[in-house]
Amino acid sequence: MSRLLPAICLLALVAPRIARADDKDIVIDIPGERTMEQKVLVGGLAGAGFLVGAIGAYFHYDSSQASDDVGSGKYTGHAWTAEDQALVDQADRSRTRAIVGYSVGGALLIGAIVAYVITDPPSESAVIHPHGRGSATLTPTPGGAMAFGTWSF
Amino acid sequence: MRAWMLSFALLGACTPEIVSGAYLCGPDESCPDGQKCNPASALCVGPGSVETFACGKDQTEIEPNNSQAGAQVIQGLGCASTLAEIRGCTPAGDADDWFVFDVPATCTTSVAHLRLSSSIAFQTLGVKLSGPNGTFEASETVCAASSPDDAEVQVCLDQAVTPGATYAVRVGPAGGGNCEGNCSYNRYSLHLQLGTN
Repeated sequence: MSRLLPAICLLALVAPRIARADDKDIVIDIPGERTMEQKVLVGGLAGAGFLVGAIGAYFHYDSSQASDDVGSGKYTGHAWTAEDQALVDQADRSRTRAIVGYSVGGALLIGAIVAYVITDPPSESAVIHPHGRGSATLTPTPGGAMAFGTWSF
Repeated sequence: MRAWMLSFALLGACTPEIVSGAYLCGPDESCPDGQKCNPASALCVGPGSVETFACGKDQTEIEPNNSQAGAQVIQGLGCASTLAEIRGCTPAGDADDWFVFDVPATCTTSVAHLRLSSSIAFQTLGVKLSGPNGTFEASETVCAASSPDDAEVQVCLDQAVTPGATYAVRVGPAGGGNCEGNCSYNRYSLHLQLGTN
C-alpha cells in the first residue's frame, strides 16, 4: 500500500499531459545515418591527413637534426667543408618537405572536417498521432504501476 | 590557427644558425651561405667584416728568399736536432720561398723530416727538397694525420740526407686551391728536424 501511493501521485502528474497529448501530435526527431561511402570519405581524408602530417613531422625532425649538426653559436675550430654544406642543403630540403607535408596534411584534415559537416545526414521527423482520450491506462502493480497507451504514426 | 603558426615557427628553427666566426674557411675560401672568407684571419665572417690578406706579424721567414741563391739559412741543426720552425707567407705574386740547411758532418746516418702546414682555404702549397747537386730529390706526400676538417693541410717529406752536405728546401704553389686565381696566397709553417731514422 505504501508503494502504491507514489504510483498514484505519478499518475496524477502524467495524466494531465497525456490528456493534453490528445489535442496535439507528438513529433519525434530520428537522426540520419551516413552512408558507407561517406564514412570512407571522411575517414580516408582524416587518415591521409594524419599520415601526411606524420611524414611532414619526420622531415621536420630530419631538418632539425641536420640544422643542429651544422649550426653553431660559437667558434668550432673546424673548416667549412662540402659535408657541412650538404647538411645545410639537407636541412633546407627537409624543411621544404616538412612544410609541404604539414600543408597537405592540414588541408586533408580540413577537408575531412568539411566532408564530415556536409555529409551530416538530415534527421527525419516522425509524427505520432495519439488515438484519443481514454486510450491511456495506468495499472497499479505491486511496488509501482504500468502505463499503457496507443498511438499511430 | 595557433597550431599552424606554431608549426611554421618551429620550422623556422630548422634553418641552421651559424654565427660569424664559427667556422674556418674551407677549400677555395668556401663558407656558409651569407658569409665570406676573411683572408686575414681565415675565418668565415659576415660580408662586412672581410679584410684583405695579410701575412701577419709573427713571421720568421725573411724575404727576399725567392731563389735558391737567396735562400734563408736554417741554422743550429744537430744530428738528432730539435724542431726548427719557420712561419712563412706567400702573398700574391710571391713565387717561391727557399731555405737551406747543413747536415752536420759528424752525423753517421741522418734523415731530414719536413712538415709543411698551410690553410686549406687558400692556394695549395708544396715542399721540395733539393740535394747538393741542385736537382730535386724528393717531393712531399700528404701526412697520414692530415684532415680537411682541421682547416690545415699538412704535407710531409722524409728523406735520407748525406752528412756534411747542404740541402735546399723550396716552398711554393703546388697548383690548385687558389679560387681560380682570386686567392693566390697563403700562410704556412715549415717544420724541419734531423733524425737518425
